Amino acid sequence: MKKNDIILLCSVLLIAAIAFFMGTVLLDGSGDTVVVAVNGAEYARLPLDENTELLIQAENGTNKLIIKDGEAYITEASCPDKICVKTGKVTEMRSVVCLPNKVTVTLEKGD
Amino acid sequence: MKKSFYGILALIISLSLCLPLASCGKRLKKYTSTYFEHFDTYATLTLFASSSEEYKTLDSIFKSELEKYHQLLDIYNQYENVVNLYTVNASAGTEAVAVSDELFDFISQAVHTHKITNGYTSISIGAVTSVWKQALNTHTLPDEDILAEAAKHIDISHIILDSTNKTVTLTDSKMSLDAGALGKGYAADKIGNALRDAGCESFLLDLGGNLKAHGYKPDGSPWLGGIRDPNELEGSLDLSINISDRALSTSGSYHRGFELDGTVYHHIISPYTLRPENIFSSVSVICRDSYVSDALSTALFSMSLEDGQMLIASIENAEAVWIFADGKIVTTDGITPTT
Repeated sequence: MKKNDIILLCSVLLIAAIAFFMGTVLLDGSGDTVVVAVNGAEYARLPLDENTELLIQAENGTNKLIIKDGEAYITEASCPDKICVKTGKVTEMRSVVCLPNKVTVTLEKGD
Repeated sequence: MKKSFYGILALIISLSLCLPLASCGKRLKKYTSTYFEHFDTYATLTLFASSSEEYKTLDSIFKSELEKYHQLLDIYNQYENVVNLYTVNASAGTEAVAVSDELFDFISQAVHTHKITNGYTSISIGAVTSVWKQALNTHTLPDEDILAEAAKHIDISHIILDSTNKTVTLTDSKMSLDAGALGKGYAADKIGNALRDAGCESFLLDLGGNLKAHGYKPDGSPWLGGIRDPNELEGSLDLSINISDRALSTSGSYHRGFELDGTVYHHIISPYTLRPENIFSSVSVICRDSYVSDALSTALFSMSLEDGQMLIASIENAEAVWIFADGKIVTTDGITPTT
């Protein structure tokens, strides 16, 4: 009886621990995410803490996205006005938008 | 004694099991929609909703309202069963046009805005802006004679409003209305009201740089709007402003323009000099309504700093940030710049 109690207790604790772990790790997904959308549809999701390059193949042209040292910005665009390049780095308050190519780059804060 | 100990333990464990699940069930999720078909710019809605069904309902309201105001204030196209600014312009110099209550309300407000901004934000400037629009598209300066001729047809007093019959008459056949400096802000307010009435408690609207936010985020933090020095000079300003239940609009020379012999020609045309001014590289206004922030940022952009400061002081709870072409920054007292 006493032994069974302990087994029961241990297994309940184990399940609780697993559930807690799953809850915190899976739901949190901490870290900021760079979200690229073309004409409103999600095109790519990239972690801000991983240096990378992405050539966005949009409807009317291309935009080159760079993620470097925790900053994301567009370095090249096929459009004539280059406003997206001039906008600079993406922040939570400011998305980078390329109107001719219908591209938006936004920053999603991790929890 | 032992039994109750295990009972309490079991209770604690089951509660701790439920905790993450409970917060998960109530968790509000962030959703974003972007459209590119309206007001010649982008339109983004970011909101928090408890389910994707709720989001879809709100998104369809967003899209249909966006469509509605885009059509109503469009000066280039006519739509079936819609009397819009195009209709009013097409009837210039001929007859009174019966318009919807909403269009009448918009034009009345715009005439009032012309008065309080001393004509710097004017709905009647269409004849001049259309000359510049052509110039900006072809990257060539407009002919001075054509510009001077167009300037004879921007008199606000040639808009006759009949509030009893809800009609608008343009008495000058060569004049035309242009909602470019007002339409997005007006639409942002109306769309915001529709979303709020539909029960959306927390959202941020961005109509081509006209931001309007309602409520706070689920974690209690405010929606933020950003102002950055477009010159990107060393140590330049990068300001984040609480815009929950407020609106932020920025007018800048870095949009839709071209450069010729070292001068930037952009889309904000001063009604006095008939050309784009380059005192500032951008001016931002923060206040309650998006219509007002949109209208004022345009006006302030072409005015001297002193005139702009006087105008902004006359508007309740309005703040402004002027960024000069050389990088100098001036703000109203309610704003603390952080560099």
